[in-house]
Amino acid sequence: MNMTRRTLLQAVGGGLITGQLSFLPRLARAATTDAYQALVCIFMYGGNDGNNTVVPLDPADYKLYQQYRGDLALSAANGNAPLPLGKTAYGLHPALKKTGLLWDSGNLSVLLNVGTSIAPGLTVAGYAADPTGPNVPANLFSHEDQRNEWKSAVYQGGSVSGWGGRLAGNFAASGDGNAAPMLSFAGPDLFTLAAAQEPLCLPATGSFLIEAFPGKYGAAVAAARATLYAESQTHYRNDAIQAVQSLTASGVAASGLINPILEATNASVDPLFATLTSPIADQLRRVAKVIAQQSQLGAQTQVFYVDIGNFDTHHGQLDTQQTLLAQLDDAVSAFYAATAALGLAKNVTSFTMSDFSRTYIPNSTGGTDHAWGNHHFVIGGSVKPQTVVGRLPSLNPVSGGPVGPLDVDTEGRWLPDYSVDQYAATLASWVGLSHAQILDVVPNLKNFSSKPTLGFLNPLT
Amino acid sequence: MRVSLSTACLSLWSLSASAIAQVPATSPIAPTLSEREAVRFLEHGSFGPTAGSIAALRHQGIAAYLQEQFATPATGYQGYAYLTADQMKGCPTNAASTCLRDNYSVFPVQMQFFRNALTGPDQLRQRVAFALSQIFVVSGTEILQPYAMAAYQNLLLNDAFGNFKQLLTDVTLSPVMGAYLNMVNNNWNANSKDNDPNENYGREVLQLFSIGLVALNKDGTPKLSNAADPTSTIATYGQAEVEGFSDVFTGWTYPGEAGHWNNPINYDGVMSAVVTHHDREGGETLLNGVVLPATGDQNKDLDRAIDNIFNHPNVGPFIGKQLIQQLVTSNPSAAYVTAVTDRFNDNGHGVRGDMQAVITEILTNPEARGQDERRPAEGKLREPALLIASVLRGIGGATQSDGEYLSKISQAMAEPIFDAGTVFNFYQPGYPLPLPDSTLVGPPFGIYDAATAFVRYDFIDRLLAGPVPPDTSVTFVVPTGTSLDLTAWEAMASSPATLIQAIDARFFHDSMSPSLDATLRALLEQIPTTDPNSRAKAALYIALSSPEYQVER
Repeated sequence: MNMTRRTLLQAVGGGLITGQLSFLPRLARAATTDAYQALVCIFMYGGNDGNNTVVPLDPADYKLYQQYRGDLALSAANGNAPLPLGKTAYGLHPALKKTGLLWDSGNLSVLLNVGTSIAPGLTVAGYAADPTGPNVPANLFSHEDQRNEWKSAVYQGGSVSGWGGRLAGNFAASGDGNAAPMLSFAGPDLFTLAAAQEPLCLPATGSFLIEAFPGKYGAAVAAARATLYAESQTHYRNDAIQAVQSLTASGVAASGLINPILEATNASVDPLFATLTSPIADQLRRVAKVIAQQSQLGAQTQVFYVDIGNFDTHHGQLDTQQTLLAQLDDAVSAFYAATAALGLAKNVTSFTMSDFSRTYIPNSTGGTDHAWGNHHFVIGGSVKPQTVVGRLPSLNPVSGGPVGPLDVDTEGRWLPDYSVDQYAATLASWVGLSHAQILDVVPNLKNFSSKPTLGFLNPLT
Repeated sequence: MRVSLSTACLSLWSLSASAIAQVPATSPIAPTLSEREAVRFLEHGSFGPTAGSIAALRHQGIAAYLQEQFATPATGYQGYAYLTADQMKGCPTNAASTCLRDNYSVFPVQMQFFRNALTGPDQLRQRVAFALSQIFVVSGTEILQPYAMAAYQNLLLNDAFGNFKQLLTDVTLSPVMGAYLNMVNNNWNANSKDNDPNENYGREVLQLFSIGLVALNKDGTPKLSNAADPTSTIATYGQAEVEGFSDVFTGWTYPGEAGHWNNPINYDGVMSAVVTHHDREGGETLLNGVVLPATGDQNKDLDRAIDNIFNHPNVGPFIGKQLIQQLVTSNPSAAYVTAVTDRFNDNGHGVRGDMQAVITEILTNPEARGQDERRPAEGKLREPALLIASVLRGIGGATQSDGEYLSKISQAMAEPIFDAGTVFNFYQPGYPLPLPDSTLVGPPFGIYDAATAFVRYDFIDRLLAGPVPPDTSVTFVVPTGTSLDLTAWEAMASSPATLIQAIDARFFHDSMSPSLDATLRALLEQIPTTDPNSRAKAALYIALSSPEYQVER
């Protein structure tokens, strides 16, 4: 425990990040600043094993890490030596080579042990005494629920909107010539939904095109088609039909703006992705192309949603995670390079989310099971260079057998140090939302008033 | 392999045809159902009405249809041979370029899914099995081999009309599910505290396949510990139960050498018990505070664990409501769910889990059969597979497909059959209907957005533009491509009113909105009577791509 704390203090040069103790004003964007800003949420479906994404390299901690993780431990012996994260006592998964270079150049921040959390007062003992108590997020360790709680920042009772959609709702552009500020390349998703406005889901391939009806009556057919998705049912209401109409109409409305952007080659963006074939690379390539032409879309601030799947590594974890993190590494580094090439590196912040982390102790099939607090990355020209927020959970055994004092179980499931609320609020404040606006986006933040944001971003100047 | 819809309908309805033939021709029997009642029922109880199925059902009646369908064996997925799981051996470097697609992807099974849906006589069995495949999910993301996916889908087809406990047991012991959710080779090592059993199946069998996370009332709503607080739900289980079931589910390996641990990958048959790798200590916490005694009998342990789940009061509302959502409507009333739960709990003869009783209630409940398409909450978005099958079956005649184009277009609509991204299916049962002031759920909207909406237009457009040519690289079945037969529709096209009425009857059970009707009329008046082909195509395109056809009510 002492070793971990001391190591961390060294790691960040004594400047342990403590967040904004006063609420937000310093970060709030001046009303006269109208610079474009974009947030890009990268969701890692299935629960990425953060415990093998960021590992302790301090010798004593690394020894414990190897003991607990057994065959899953990343080590030089199995050809998986972690990559030292410069000036810290941590290492990255060896697949994250280019991500490590972003750290070196000051464009990566690492957030440790963040998770679904209702209030700062919950303790391991408190959880043990009442695992379904009022301060415990509902249905811990369940994919669907933890994923939805990450996306909605609502931890009990469910939600029909996400904090991405709610955040973007503050930037809704008026007028017909504008696209929605919430854009998804991964289909409709809870993260993107808001009561007031639908996200715009962009095609995974191609653009918004309805093939012309063949034959000489194409124009008449197209006109008939348009009356049907444009009209609202006047004779009776059916919610599903209206939703179909409005979603179709939104694609038609956006096509004039979006299609030229997606169809044209962008000389700054496309070459950087030329050798990449993964779905996440393709999504981020298209995000970069939209960002390149953002001035045409009318929204001063945009929120993008992309995803990458298959992190649910209950078995065969070493190979699977290696493959996926390598895809992510290629994609996010190309994406950062694209924003830099566009002169927008400081205007774009990407960040990762995932269902949950995974158990520290492997299971009997070469994998890990569902856990809780996880480690995440924030990437962009506005991150505070070489910043680690928080620390890796201590691995020092405590009586009774759990993996260190933050293990709520016996398998290494971390009680989070930071809440999704604080993570989201830091991003929301970066795009200039007021205190009241942020509380609309992240209502539960009221419980974290002593430390509402985590200070991993510099204000855009 | 070229099977037209019309010949399929002959085989499908041969039973009823012979029944009709016994009635003297001079006294035609009055149909027991109106056409619109029959069409609407077949939206729920088949992959879409056809001219033949409507006529037969009208004479046969719903009760006889159900009995016939319950007795009709599965068309199923046959002829997929075992092949090594080692792709390098199965498809060595000199293999054909299609080797991986044909032997290490679910593509051949996806094609057959559509062929079966279009022409199989076991329509209700297929509909229910497709619903079950979206609850008991396994996916081609992990289960690559066609013979494995075929075996699993056959299991769901064969168990669709049995008892739910048998279904749950068979799914649990399937090596396909075993591989997908890691119950296979899940090891118990009494000497190691550091390698705990894999919790994947132990968790998901509770969360997704049986009871869900929170205690439910019979009407499917969550029980609350404080009626004034909607967040005061009551957990059905915690981590202790997950670990308890995970422990019970240890000691199973692939079918093969009896008693041998870590058998080589083999998806044919039932997982093999190896008691030395099974937790025999007893003491596992199951549901409702039950603690499993030490029996030393691996099969008995499994049966007790499944029995413990099966008898939980949540199973009826949890599974029943999802089946309603899959077959009939996204937002069933409390009374409808309660009626289905009651039938799950007791089929009327003291038997719990009788799937035939549950399905009968789902399809005959007044809420399913009532003609109430004007309710704001009525119906559900047609998911891609049902849209595709309903369009082809409804157009009918000699319309036919080998399934190749259809499986690709369903994937483009974000529903790759048997290939969902995760065990949470293509979409979630609680996905909110995306309309700002709506409080409803719309599960299939989880894969419906502006981008996939456009694909639906292109699907109808592509079909009407002319035959989709066969993919000649397909060799495991005779490739035929996909083509429509518009003869019957062209024959009616001289009268716009007749054509519109026929489309309304076949595809909308006479519920077409006045605005769609008027739009079609105005459009048809712009196309001369001398061009019945263009009239038929234009009318079908507008009707089948219309927002109101996307929603089955």
